[in-house]
Amino acid sequence: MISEEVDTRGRRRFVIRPSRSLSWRGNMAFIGVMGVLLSVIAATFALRGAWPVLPFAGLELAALAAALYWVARRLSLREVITVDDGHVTVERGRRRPQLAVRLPRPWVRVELARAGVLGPRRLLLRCHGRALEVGALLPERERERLAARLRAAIAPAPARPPRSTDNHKHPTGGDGAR
Amino acid sequence: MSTATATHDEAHHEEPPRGLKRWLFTTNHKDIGTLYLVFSLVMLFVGGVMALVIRAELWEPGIQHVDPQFFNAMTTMHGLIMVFGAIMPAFVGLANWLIPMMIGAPDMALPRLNNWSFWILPFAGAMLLATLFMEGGAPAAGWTMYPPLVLQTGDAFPFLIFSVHLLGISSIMGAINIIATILNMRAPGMTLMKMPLFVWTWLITAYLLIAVMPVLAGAVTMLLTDKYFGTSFFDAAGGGDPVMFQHIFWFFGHPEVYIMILPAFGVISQVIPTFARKPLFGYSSMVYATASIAFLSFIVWAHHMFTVGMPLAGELFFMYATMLIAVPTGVKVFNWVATMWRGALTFETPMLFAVAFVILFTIGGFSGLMLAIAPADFQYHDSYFVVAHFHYVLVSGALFAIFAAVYYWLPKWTGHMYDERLGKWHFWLSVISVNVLYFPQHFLGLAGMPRRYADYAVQFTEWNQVSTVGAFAFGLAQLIFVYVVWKCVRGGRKATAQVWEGARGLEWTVPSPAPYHTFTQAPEVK
Repeated sequence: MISEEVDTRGRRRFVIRPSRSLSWRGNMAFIGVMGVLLSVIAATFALRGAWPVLPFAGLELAALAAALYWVARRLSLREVITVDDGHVTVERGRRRPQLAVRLPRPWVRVELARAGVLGPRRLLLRCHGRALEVGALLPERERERLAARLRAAIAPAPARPPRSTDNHKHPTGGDGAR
Repeated sequence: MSTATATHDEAHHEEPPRGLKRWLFTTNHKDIGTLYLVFSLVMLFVGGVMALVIRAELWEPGIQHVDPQFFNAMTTMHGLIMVFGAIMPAFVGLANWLIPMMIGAPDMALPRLNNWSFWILPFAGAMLLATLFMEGGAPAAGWTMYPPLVLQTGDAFPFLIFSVHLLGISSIMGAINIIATILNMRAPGMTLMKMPLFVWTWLITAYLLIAVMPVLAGAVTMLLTDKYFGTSFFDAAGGGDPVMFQHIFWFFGHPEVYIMILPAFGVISQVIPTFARKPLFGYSSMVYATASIAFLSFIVWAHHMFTVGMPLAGELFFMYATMLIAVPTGVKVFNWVATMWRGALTFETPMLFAVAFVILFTIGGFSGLMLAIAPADFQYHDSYFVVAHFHYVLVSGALFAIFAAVYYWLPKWTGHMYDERLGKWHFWLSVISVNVLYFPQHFLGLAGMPRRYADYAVQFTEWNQVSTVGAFAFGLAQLIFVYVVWKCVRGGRKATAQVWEGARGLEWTVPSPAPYHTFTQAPEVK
């Protein structure tokens, strides 16, 4: 999910977050329910002498918890790309930015590169020989749309008359802010 | 059922990668769904050929074509392959294809895990089939693997255990993926109570799978250690208890039956409203009935073992608990009939299979109720009546629902309409032959013919011959199905996005064939 806004100082900000339908708390509740159920089942069999059910139940619960944790963690990531007159700033994190990179706007190139023969296309911001991947948490089509929007935002703006007072008009005229 | 608006760029169909690597390394839910469905079709025919060997041997009394050991190997392998290789993978394939599209997700939550869960299956299936060529022959103790009989298996034994473990791991990985997808990746607005019934039934099925699979894993591991590592879990001579295995196995095995039938309920709940052109009657009660069936499935296992010797209180508890399942199941059947009531019904092939499902599954349900009556079960136990009962549930129930699903969604998958005339031929031949095949088995069982024997008393000959004729007719009818699918994949009348006039749900908002990547932008569900 990409939302785009233009602030009063003319900076374009792209907020990228994956669609998510259950909080981590909700996932934990599900893991808890499964944990109680599996514990009761495995403990009952163990008490009757069939203790080998226990390790399998434990392993499975661990796998379920790990999978849900991985998915929930991935879906809680946020990425904010800010394009101002001089810089492109990429911030990434969950509750607070855990990564913040500031790139000089004139040197930034937006590139879609396929990883391997079958891999999805990765969106890279290249600058001075470095590459920073953005939009990894988006589905591929949305990543392509983000690439197009970033190209439009980062490209040197043609000479134009001073901005009107309508600062919140969508800059690309596309399907941006929702 | 939700209504939705989805924007989709019909012109932008990205071509999937080509060649073998696409299928080996794919993480796309549609590719993996196709792999599962093709695998299950192949396994259906492998297991089906085994069934025909059984029926050919039972054409007349005496030993005709195969020796009794091989006959028992056939019954065992047929059961294992049909349960773990055909029916379950088919529903996982449908889940892969449909769940992301139904909830508006771009793919499954764990795509790589999805690839691994599929690719374990062919190895496990091949290993199981390879036991046919091993010293001592394939496992022949029945799909239930009861000790001490199963411990007499030759070289095939560790391979049987390992393949069951692998099949279980594949199922667990699939279930975890489905749960993670449904819980976390629903489109904005797609609340739990707006999810299509197929998604609901799969969520509950996945929950059941996770609850019972460790029990199966533990059970077969104990068999392994009893055979090779000197333990006595199930060996009475060493202080163990062979009946304990039956309790453990059926604690897994009974929910397993629901694992195979709940997604079928989901499919039927999608198909009937479409061709009745009415919303599903009693959506909420369908959800609660499914959850009730799942709960009850944990407390009825010992109805499979009424005859092993249980306290009277135990017999009564399991008898009444089993009968209780008829209540939520009855709610479902009532709701399907109520959905059809005064609907603008049309009978395309998916609807024909759905209506046949409702009628024939109910017959299987009623014979299940007869078996639930403990004193009556002492008469029916391990007879052909039981064989007839579970085949009505699993063939004219689960398999017919899979056929309904394939005909229903095939135009969405391929972009072409299937040949309706051939589809109807497939239906009518199947529905007639399946009854010719299984209905006489009720009579045979009631008259006292036991299951899992290569030979029988002469008075059972006629009904066995009728059953065998039905078996071969049913088998041949499935070749029509393969031809219809193949023809539809190759071409045919173009399908629209909507495909069926009365179809509702997100999967019908994308073009036909569904693009390689769907919902790369989350749809809005109202």
